[in-house]
Amino acid sequence: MSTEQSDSPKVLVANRGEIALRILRACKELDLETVAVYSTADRNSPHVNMANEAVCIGPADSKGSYLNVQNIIAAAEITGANLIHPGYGFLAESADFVEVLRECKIGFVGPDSHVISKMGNKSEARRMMKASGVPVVPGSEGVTPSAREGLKVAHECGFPVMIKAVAGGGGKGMRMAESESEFSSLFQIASAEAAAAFGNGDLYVEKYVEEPRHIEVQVLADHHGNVIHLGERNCSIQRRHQKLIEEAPSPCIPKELRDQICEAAVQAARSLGYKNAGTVEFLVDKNNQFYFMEMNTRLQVEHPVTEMITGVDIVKEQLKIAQGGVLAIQQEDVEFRGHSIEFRVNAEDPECGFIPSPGKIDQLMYPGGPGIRIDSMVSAGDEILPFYDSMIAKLIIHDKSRDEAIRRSIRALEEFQLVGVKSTIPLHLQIVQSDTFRKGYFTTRFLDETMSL
Amino acid sequence: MEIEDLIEEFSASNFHELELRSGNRSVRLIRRSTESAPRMGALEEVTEAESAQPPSVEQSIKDTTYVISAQRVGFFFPEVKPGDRIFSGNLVGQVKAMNINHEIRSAIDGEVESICVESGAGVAFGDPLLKLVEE
Repeated sequence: MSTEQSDSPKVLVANRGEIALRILRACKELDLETVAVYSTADRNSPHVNMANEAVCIGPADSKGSYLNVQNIIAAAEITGANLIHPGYGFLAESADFVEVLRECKIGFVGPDSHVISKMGNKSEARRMMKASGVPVVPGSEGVTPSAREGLKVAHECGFPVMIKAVAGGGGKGMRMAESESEFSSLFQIASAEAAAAFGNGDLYVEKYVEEPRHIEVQVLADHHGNVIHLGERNCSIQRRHQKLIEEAPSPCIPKELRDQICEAAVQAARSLGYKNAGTVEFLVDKNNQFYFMEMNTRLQVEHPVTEMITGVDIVKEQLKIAQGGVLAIQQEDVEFRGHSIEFRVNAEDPECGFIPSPGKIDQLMYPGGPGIRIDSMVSAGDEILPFYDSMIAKLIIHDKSRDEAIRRSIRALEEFQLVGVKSTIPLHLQIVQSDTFRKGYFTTRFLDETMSL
Repeated sequence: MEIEDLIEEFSASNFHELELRSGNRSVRLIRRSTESAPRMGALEEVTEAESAQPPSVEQSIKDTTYVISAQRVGFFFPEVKPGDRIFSGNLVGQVKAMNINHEIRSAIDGEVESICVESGAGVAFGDPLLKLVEE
């Protein structure tokens, strides 16, 4: 397969940007040889220099480069890399890619392909979680054939309910029914709308999650059946389902609920035979009932907040697990210290619907001092390329308490100098200074409801 | 169908791109997008040498030198040697990746000036593989 195959691991990082640097740093600290891959647009990126070797895998367009399975595997072949870390995005959740790697006898830092594929299918994931005793949003199993059947489901799970299009997206074919009297007519409207929008009028009915909060649990599982959690993160501050601010621990979760959710996540991972790092996402409603939403079978953008409060280097643990290592940390060893908040600084214009604002960074000065971590690969003079995502940096704050972390956040955001592109920094400042954020109880609709955008 | 016929058919067609696979061999034809390109239906691996640099007298003399660069990552195996006369459509080398050999064919008539990498060496996207002098 390769010219210089040996037993010592050599890690190819199949990604770019800050996450490529993050992974390369972990490899260096573990004395692992590294290979970076890059597109022609990233020729001068820091990750290319940080790795022991680097291979150009294609043009700027990610389809020809960072999503090019053949060239990425060939890059592993010509360099003798025997382990691939996918980071997040690109090929991180491609079951096909993982399957090809298995056939090529190249290790993958992540779970097995069949687990990725099951968790990538919404209804399959829901079915599996329900079967293993993890709570899911109550509702119909599959398609609800008629308004009459729908009403039965609505009575079972209790009003209000959501009527949703099976083929749905973007709110089309979606209605909230608050009572029996309006249910049937809303069902007909939703069906007609779904048929018009998607060519498929099939609907399903599920309980409406009131005051939803996004709570997710970081899990780690080795190849020997050991599964632990590293606590939860609150990621309710989002726009268009993309997270903007994440924090750990969650300010709105009592201890018993935290224990239950974390235990459910461990149970979910265990029942799947999950390997490596993963995140189980839940919605928590106004009565503190929690429901499985989805599982992300990869490293997450927001993993640093968990690292800050636990002291566990998640990426190093991933690499050790992928090499067959036994988890050295047991659940009782995991300690939570202080509070951490992550801000995604994106080159976007929050005042214009978060449209990307690519361009040259004329001035850039990161905040510093105690309790501040910056994960980025951007420096002054760099161009934010339109080909890739618009994240410039992750600003990660740590302090003893949530109050102190908020104060430190304000200080750091004010210190952050960025000239040349529009960014989310002013919005972040507005959010952390708001009463709602300070009080700690906010839902996934926070941005729409509270902020004047 | 012979590769030369394929190129001819492709040149006459409206297709912009064509990829054929048979067993462990594959060939891909891409029509050049620039209007000023001298030849239609050039093979993907053929690119002009240092075209990004401003033209100079020296370079215009060297206009007839073509560099074939890798469009795939893999192990390169040349099928020609310096001094060989080749014709458009001739096999000049192969890039092997994931146990598949990808043929590289010349889009010009000419002579092989040099081979840029050792046989069996790994090549990245864009790496020069061989230089040809057009006739």
